[in-house]
Amino acid sequence: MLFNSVVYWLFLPLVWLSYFLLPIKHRWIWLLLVSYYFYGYWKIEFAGLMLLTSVIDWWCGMRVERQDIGGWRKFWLWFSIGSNLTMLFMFKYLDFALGDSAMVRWMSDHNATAWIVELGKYTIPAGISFYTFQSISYVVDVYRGQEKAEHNLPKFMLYVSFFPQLVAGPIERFGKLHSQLFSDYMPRWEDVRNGARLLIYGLFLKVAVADNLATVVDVFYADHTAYTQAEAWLATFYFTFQVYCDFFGYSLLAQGSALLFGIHLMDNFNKPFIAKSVPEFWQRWHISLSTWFRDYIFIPVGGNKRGPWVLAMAAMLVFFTSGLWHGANGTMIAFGVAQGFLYLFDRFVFKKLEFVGGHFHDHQGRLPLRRRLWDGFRTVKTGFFFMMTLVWFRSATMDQASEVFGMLWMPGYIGCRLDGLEGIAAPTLAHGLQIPLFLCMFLLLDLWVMKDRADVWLGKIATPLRWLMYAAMAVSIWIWGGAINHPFVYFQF
Amino acid sequence: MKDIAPKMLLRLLVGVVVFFAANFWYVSSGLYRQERAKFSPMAAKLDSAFLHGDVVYLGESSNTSFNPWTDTFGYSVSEFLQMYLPQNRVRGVSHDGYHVGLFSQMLGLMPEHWALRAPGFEEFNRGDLDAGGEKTALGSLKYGVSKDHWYKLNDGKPSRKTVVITVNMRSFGPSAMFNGNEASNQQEAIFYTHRTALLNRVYVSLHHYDNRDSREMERAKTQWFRTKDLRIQGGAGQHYGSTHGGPGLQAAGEEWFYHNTVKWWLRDLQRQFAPVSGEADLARVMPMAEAYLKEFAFLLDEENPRVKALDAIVEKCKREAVNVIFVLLMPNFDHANRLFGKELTLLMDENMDFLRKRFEGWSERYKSGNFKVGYVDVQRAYFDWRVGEYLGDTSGNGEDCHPECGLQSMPEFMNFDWASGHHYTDQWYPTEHVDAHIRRFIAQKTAEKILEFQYRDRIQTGVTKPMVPVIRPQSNNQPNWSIKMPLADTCLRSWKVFAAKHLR
Repeated sequence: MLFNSVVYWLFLPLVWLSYFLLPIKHRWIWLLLVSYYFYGYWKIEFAGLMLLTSVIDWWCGMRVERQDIGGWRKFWLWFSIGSNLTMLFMFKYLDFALGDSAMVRWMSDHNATAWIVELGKYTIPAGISFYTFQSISYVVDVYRGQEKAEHNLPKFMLYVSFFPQLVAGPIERFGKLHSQLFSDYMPRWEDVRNGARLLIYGLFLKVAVADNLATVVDVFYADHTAYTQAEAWLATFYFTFQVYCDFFGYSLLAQGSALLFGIHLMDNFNKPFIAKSVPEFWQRWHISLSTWFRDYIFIPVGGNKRGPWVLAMAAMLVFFTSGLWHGANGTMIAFGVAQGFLYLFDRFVFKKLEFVGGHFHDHQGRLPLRRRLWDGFRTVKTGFFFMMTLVWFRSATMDQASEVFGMLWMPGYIGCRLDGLEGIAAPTLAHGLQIPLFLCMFLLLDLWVMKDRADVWLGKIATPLRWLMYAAMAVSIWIWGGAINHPFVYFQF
Repeated sequence: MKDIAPKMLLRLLVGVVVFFAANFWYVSSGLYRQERAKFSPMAAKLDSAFLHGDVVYLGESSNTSFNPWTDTFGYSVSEFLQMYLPQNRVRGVSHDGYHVGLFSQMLGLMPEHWALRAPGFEEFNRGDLDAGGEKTALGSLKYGVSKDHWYKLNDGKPSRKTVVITVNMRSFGPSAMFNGNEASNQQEAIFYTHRTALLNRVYVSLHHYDNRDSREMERAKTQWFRTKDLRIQGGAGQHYGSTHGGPGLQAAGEEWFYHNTVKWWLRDLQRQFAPVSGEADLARVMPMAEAYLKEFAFLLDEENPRVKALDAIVEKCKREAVNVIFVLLMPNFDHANRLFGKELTLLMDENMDFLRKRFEGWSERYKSGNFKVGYVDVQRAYFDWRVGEYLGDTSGNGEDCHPECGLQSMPEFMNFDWASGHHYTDQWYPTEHVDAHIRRFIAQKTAEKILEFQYRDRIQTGVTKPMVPVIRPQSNNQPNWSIKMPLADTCLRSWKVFAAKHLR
């Protein structure tokens, strides 16, 4: 079930109402049932896969906790990690790994195995990367002694499947989410109100901003060679904000939905486009995944305590894994590796240029102009580099990415349409005025006006203005929602 | 909860008020009209067709396609139909890739009591009102004067209003059903209902339609090809000795049946490619052969959603007492036969028979009364005509029988089961796009069926002579048929021997 579907907007209030009508001690069971319904609504067979993941990790968590011998604890830990990664590999990477090998051809020639090839080729269970990572974090935390194992299987299943954050995060830690799921919460007006604010703002970002930007981006990438260099730049710029608004909108919808049940999910974004460096950017973008990588990969393999070479290797490992996590595709790996190099460049090279910005404070304690200009330059540089790497993120193949890079940087690149040639009936990117208008509105709000999260900020402004904003957002969703059928970008991961 | 409920209800109420205020503005500002035209150009055409037409022809690309090199006349079927029915207003609404599922949804825009309305009824009535009473600019036409008067005139008589639905057998198959364009078609179909305007737009924004992406469609199609059994149960063509695979495979019965699923068939086709490759045109034949398999190798059943759409069409037309005529288009049997022989054409025949029986049942059931169902079986009608033509029968179907047309001299015309492949505009892909000769023929047969159902009264102008040009069949751009067709009847026997020895 998608957050931007009519069905979800019927499902959510019904579930919410019935949840609070039930006795407190039975509410979590209801939440578990509706969470599985939410997931199974898309494809029932994949709910079984999630159940399998939950059972294995629940069992391994208990084994890890009960074992006194270190070796066995480690065994169960790796058994859990291995089973999770195997499932991830089977459903997400097998097709990529096998390619068009003789084995695949053999499998597809036999009815008994053909369905596996089909499954790998055409279907990825929604959110498998998210709930797998969430489940792994639980077993690791138990192994480290940071959390106690959950002995009740259905309760653990709810931790894995809680519907607002099931398919695209935020990837919550067991300690934070579990305690909230089973608390004796009574509905509070503040939570309902703030949840509703997040829902409407999140939906506005997805439907009115991201989906409208997608109408240009999708048209461009469907046949990029039919467009001009300027249009290539426009599409690249638009995609940067499409992916941001799409995922940010999704995260807000998840947070808003959870808040209605009194559950506070972590913030997944914190104004990433004001980041001055790549390391800072990744502290502001997809925070739940970045912190996951930090805690479960970067620090365990050495982090930044063992010198620059180990740090470089750890960082590259994280970004390579991050790229692979985003998709079983060469373009995604290229995206991750490029981000890794930029990270290292910022950390080791650009940092040495800090002196260019001069002092941080003048004698009155204010930021000097030179520093402001330098910081502004760094912010633009960080955003620009990110925008460039997104060409790989969006392209279907490495060839397409190379061609788009060619179009962006080489005027008259082969395949790039040249303006001024008469008689060529080339299509143009047809888009209305509302796209730049919505984008400007969003950028203004996100980068300059909103100093807090949307719900808090909306609570602070004058009531008439607030209601005006509600009405404007609602009407934008109703009337100017993007018409291209574009599911949440992060659903495929 | 008690303190929350009033606050929530108040906000919900405000939300509803804002929604309806926005809806009012959306419609009154003309924005909805623009958006409707943008998202669903067909909806506006349909409105116009239902407003101005007696006969509404819902077609797909076969209605309008023509061969610019060989078609002397580029008229569509619906335009030819208008020539045959000068006393009716024929309005054609066509769109590439449309099918009965969408036609069924399109009928949602049929105005209430359409059957009782005179052509342009609203316009005349508006004239009535403008004139302040009885008289209108078209006052001499009695049916335009008042609704009551028209209702009296029409009382107890079958309706003149007719909906013609083109039925393309290919569109019932998996390749058409799981087409990548279907999501976009379904988005258009949102506007084929008289819903609150803003709600329609919200449905577009929130993608409230069958919006499976091309990847999901591809999966569904592949699954169909892999799992759907092509064995005809209980029919004349019961065949297939055993399941596919294993050296013991021998067809029990007619020997040309060999493949149980499309998947196996496609695999054999690919393997067959190697032995017969080397011909220059084979690179074009293979994709064509693959397309024919994917488009036509299926069996219709009651569960097929498009079969259910046919039922829905009949139900809707019955409720509105509007006659409905199904035009069962003629697939390119000739090319299918040359490519795969009877193994494929028998499946096609089976599907055509399935539809024929359905239409036949309806026309029997609704033989009398205000509502009628008819169908034009283009293939059978053409067969009849060609037999008459060959035998030199100039009385019944002799309109086109001309000594110069030279039909008898063309050997491929000796096969009367289906029209020669040269009538089809697309020689390298399975479509039902036909030349002007057959388009006109379809229109003629449809017109005959419409007139059969229509009662004649004072409304009719008395113009009965069709204003149709005579079009003679002529050669089209034919492919090079001298090349060896993979898996055709002539090749199948040797292929089976080869496959049994080396492949299984």
